Amino acid sequence: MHLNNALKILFLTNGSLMLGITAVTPIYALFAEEIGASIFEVGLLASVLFLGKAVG
Amino acid sequence: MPSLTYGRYVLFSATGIHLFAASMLVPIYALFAEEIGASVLQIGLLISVAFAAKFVTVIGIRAFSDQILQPLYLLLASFFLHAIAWTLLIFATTLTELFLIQLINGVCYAFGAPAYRTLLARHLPRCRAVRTYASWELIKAVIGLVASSIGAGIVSLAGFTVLFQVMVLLALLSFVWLWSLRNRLCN
Repeated sequence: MHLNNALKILFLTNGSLMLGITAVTPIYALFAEEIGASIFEVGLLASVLFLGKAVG
Repeated sequence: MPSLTYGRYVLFSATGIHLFAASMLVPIYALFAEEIGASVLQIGLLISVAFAAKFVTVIGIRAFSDQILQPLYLLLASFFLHAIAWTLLIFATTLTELFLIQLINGVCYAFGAPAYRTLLARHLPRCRAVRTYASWELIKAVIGLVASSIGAGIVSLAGFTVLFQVMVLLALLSFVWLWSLRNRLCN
């Protein structure tokens, strides 16, 4: 399989994106709490994420 | 002869109930771990431990054929083990206990995901596989949407213990539901 430069960049971008998402997911609630979100609001934030996914 | 459509409904409903229970905790798990005394790094490690357990278990699962590790029983085992793990969360007071529970969770994910996908693949309608998988993705998103808020609401009103109790009940319900309708599935 030959990968041209543009394709290599796409692979790297996707990998980095996934790495970023995976790294932040477990501790996102702590960040939201630090911003001032209550537990219920942390849940709502997650719901909004799923809403976006459902609509998408 | 089991019906493909009915089999899909059984799979979607049982796994949906189970997913609902899990989705109630996922967004706020970090807050629970923090309450137990975990630092940010330790919370990251807790998640890593579950992935490590999943990784090792999946390697083990790959060694066996479907005749030995029947997907239906793997899925049932995943539901039941999750009920045990969530019951243990009710009594967890130390970080070590949380790490051990994460090990069980990792094993559950390793059992559940391939088993569910195998069973769903056996119940796909002809020429409408994409639609079926898309339907499941839609169901998952709606479950996540509703469960995240409900889980956080339960914790806000009644605390984590009540949330875990509800999760255990749902896990057992999904187990009993799938077990009682197992004859409707294609094996």
